[in-house]
Amino acid sequence: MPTLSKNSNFNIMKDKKVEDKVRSLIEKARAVERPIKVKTSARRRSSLNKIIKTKEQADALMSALKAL
Amino acid sequence: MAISVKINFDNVYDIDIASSEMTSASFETELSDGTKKKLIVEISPEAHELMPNVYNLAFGPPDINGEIDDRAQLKHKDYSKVFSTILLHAQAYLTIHPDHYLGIDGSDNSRAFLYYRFILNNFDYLTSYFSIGALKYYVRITRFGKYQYENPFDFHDIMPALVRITDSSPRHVDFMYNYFIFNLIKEKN
Repeated sequence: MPTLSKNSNFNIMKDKKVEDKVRSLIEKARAVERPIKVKTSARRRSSLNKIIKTKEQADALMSALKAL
Repeated sequence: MAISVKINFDNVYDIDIASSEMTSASFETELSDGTKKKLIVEISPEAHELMPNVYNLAFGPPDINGEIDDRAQLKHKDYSKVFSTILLHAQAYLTIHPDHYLGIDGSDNSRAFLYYRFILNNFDYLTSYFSIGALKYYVRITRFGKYQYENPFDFHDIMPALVRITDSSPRHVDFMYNYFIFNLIKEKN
């Protein structure tokens, strides 16, 4: 069940209409009861998954991501 | 054909959410011949095994097995609406998973450059919602081979290099990136 963290990200949305659309999508997600049936693995297809295979690579990338 | 895309979260198709964690969704796009086509948006339910907050986002029509065909070539009537819909879904996903990063692969070079151009052409709009990084993979050269046919590249020794895309990032096709990663912009205190 989707929940929002305490520091909700809605307060950084400048556009009220976009905020309403996002809220509506989250409400739709909350209403989903049927189980997820994923027929393909996006993770398997990811080049990131094929390339980043060591902890050193992953740590370097995560460090760069956090600095974005 | 040059495709112009203007991202606008007010111009989106109706999204059908198929999972409570928002990892799976679909919508119907209208093609240039007036027919409708279902597009699936899938966010990997599991993170990269070494990067616990990084998830892959893929999209495309279902193939005959119901799997995403991310190489399908469709002529959309409104490319702006298609990509705005996908990114609005990403925005909603990141709103409930604010510590996650989403990554998008170009399935080939032309798509990778297309996505890069979309980002640059919509830079102000997108960066009001997302921080966006672009990734290149660099391969170590072990030595120059004695013979031309020897392969000097060590594909087991690859380093990722991430750059932050800015509005002055070069637009030339030579500046190709392999992968795009984005997350929500953080509120500044």
